Amino acid sequence: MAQTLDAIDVDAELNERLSLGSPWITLVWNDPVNLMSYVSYVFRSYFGFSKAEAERRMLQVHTEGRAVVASGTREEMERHVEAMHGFGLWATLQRVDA
Amino acid sequence: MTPFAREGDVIVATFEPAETEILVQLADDVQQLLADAAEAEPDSTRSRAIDRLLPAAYGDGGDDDAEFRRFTSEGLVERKIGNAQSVIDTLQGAKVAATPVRLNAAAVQAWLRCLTDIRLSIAAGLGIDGDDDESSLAGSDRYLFDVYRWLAFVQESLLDALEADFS
Repeated sequence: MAQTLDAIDVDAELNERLSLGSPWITLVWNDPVNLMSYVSYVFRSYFGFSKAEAERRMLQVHTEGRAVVASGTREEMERHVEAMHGFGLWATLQRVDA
Repeated sequence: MTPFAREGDVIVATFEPAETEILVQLADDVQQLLADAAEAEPDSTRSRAIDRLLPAAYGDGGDDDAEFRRFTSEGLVERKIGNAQSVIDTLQGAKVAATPVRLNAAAVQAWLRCLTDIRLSIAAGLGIDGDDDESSLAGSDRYLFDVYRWLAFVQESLLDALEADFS
């Protein structure tokens, strides 16, 4: 897979989770359709992010093309991706390979 | 329309009869699109719309994508059709001019998701793939594009009304 973890902005919390053995991540990708306010709303209401954190990740999606929104087991990430598709957000999961 | 505003337990807006008619039609279109998803021709507008409503979860075009879609698409399609039905149902009472649409918490969620699904399917038809594509649309698509932008206004208004719930 071309997208290595190095290419992604990984925050401290995510680093910690990865070191605890959470080898899969959920990514949300930029699209020209979804409103920034809606993406931010989904991040707050579904993932429970604070307003500031939701805005930060939403802006990351917008400016960098994608953002990591969760990490954990493959099953957990599949559940998140399915939920994002329910909201109409473009989300994928992938294994974090070094 | 008058923008959405909170009134106690519900969120309320008033639509013009023509606006109600368009929303019902578009929600119905999305239901048809999803119900007939299996019959969409490859590379058609409809198949592009379906690919955006049910994106590949792994994005590698392989067995994992196929398996994810096999296990999730039925439930996702069912919920999306249900959301569209909720939009249609809540608009039934609003067909008489100036009758407000009243959304409870469940209907709000259905509306947010269905407005998104409608906009995604219109965007697939208009070929809006990049952030700059909106400005280059030809005249014949102008009406649909205006509807697409109006739907963004409706959704933004709904999100504004919800903002108070977070604080």
